[in-house]
Amino acid sequence: MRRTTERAYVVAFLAGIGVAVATLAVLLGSILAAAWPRLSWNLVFNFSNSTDPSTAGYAAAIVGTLWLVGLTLLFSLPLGIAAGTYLEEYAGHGRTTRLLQAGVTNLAGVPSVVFGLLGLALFVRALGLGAIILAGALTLTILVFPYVVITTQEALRAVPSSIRDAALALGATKWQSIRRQVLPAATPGLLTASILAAARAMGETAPLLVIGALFLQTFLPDGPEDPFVALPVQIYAYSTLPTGTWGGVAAAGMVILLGMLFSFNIVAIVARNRLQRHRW
Amino acid sequence: MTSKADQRKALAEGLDRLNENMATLAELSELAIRKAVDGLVRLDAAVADEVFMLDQEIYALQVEIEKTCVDLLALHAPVARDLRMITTSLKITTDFDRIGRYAKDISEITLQFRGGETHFKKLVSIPRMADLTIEMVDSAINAFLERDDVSAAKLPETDDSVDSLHDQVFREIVTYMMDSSVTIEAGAQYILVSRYLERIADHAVNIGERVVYMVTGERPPRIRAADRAKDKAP
Amino acid sequence: MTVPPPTVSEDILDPAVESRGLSVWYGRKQAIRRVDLKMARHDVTAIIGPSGCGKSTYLRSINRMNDTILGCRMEGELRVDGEDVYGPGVDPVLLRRKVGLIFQKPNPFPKSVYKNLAFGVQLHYRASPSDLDGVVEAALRQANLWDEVKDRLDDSALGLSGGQQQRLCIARALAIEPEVLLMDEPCSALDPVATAKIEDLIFELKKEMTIVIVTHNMQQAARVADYTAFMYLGRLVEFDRTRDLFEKPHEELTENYITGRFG
Repeated sequence: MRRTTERAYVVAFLAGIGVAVATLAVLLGSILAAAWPRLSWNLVFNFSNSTDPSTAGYAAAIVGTLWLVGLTLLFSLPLGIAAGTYLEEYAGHGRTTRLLQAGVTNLAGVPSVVFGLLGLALFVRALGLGAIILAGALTLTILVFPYVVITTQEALRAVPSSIRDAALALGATKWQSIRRQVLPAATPGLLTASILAAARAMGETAPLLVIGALFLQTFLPDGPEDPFVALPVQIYAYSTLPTGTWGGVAAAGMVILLGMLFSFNIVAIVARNRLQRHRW
Repeated sequence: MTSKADQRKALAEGLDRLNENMATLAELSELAIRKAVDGLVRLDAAVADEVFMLDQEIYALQVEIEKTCVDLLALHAPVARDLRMITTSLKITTDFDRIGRYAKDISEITLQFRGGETHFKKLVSIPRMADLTIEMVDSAINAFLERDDVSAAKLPETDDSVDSLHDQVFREIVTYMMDSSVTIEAGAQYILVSRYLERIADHAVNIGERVVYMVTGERPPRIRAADRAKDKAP
Repeated sequence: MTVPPPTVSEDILDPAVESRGLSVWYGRKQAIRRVDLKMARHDVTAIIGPSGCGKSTYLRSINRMNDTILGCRMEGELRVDGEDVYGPGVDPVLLRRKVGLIFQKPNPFPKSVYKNLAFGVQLHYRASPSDLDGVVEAALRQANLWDEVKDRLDDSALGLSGGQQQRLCIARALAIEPEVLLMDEPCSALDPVATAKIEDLIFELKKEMTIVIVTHNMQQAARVADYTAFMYLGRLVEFDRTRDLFEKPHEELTENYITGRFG
């Protein structure tokens, strides 16, 4: 009798996983299917247009996304890791700390479009930057920041306290112990933080739309002061056009985006594994 | 892996058994002395044989006690009073073994009084010495079992009495030998018996000293009888 | 409160470590009650006692590792080489170079053997690479570990066995030339062979430094220590030369503890 219940549970769990995997498979499958006729290297090198689906591409969007992700990582990682280190290693346990921690956690739950509105009001208008890459990166930085903080905290928590004790007992100050032993030991976790940040930055659409990303851009941005389009925005743009003719192009963009995300992940995982094996 | 409480129990059981064995050893020794002297007084060869058997028993028990002590030391690494009790037991089994040997020697002498049916006179001092000696051994083993260092410290006084009795016997027998009341050979045997009893008493004093160490951890100095007498004199 | 027989402490004329009236609280709970204790120089002093008696707390007070624990407060005096370690102007960082601490569970850094040893040296000294090589080798030799690791200095310290890791932690502490070495139950996570190696090491090290070892293993205290202190519920119950404490303790509490009648 107990064995049947046991097996029933196992079956239920497998069914759950099965649904998830199946959904993913169907999703990926349908995207690939839709994108198939349009898949070619032209997508990467062509600029976008709204007239001819066969020549439409994602060149500007790819570059724009790379700029955005790069700058976002540049801003959010140091800030987030520093904040996470402070909260985890230095902050006391009083009310202030708990408030700060709660603030960070809640920030992670804010709908992304709200960050877009914030970015619009603050960076684009109040600071007068306009709808440029820098504004987009700053907005994404705020969005991604709480995730970096939380992941950093978890990474630091995973470092056993015996390492801190050992460093202190040898006469290290707290900062020396953190900088030279704890943070290096937490590097795998910190890498995870980076992957997470990059993935979010790459995939966010709503905030960029609100800020004023372009739908059609026929030139490559030269720097952070240029207007931009990003991959998810571009995909959205193509999806507003008639599905019959443009559906494939939109789907192809999804393939590119997923491909970039995938390779980012692989690179980070490989880097993490190599670090874990050869770090010393 | 035994817990600390079990180890304590195992050690406690071992120590209890050791105590019991020591008591038995003392009983056997006292019995040996009594029978040996009794056999001598009555010139009874059968009793003398019993003493030989007792000596064997004493030896066997002593060996077993030794083994028990070594086992306890090896297995339990005892400290403090437990350690002192075990090392003391090891040492005083030797004393008891010696006591057994002396009793046997007395019985050997009994067997040598073959020709004569009786002694040249009624033996008085020697039985008196035997009584005192047995009392001392008894006192010593009680002190050991009761962990009483105060009684143990009193043993040298009784030993003084035994020593003077021995001197007395010696002088008496020499006198008798000189006026030929007794043969030189017999006289020498009597002196030997007296000597053996005096040595047994010394061993009882040794046991007392070890008991003092066992209880207090201190090793008292040995004071000569003459010096002790000086302390007593006003 | 019992006071240890004065004679033994009085014989220690130039203690490397000395506490007078030392009391330590964790919040409201008092862990150590007015302990007077002297550690003889270049000797091994063991602190024994049942769990929770305060021996580890006492040990960590000596190099101020208790500072890292919130709500920990102390009163009284604790002197290392005559200097009050809780006095004004005393830098815990410099104190910890002089007074090393070995933990119960070996805690090498997840780095190479070499880098483990180099860490402490680079904290306190300016060392050229060749100097550093020399120091690393000397410390490893001192800890009787050199022969076992000389061919794998750049391999991860975590690949060593438990006993080797503990000796590595000792070498790491030795590399910065401490005068006092504190050891908090250093062998409790190790097998008997590894334990024996560390006890032998302690025997050698005491020629050059003062060692204070907390242990719950009384046989170990008996084997390695010259002096032994018995603590119970935060108080010092008895302090004596090891051989005297284990042969004829003065206090009944001590006797009951070491004979295993309570533990």
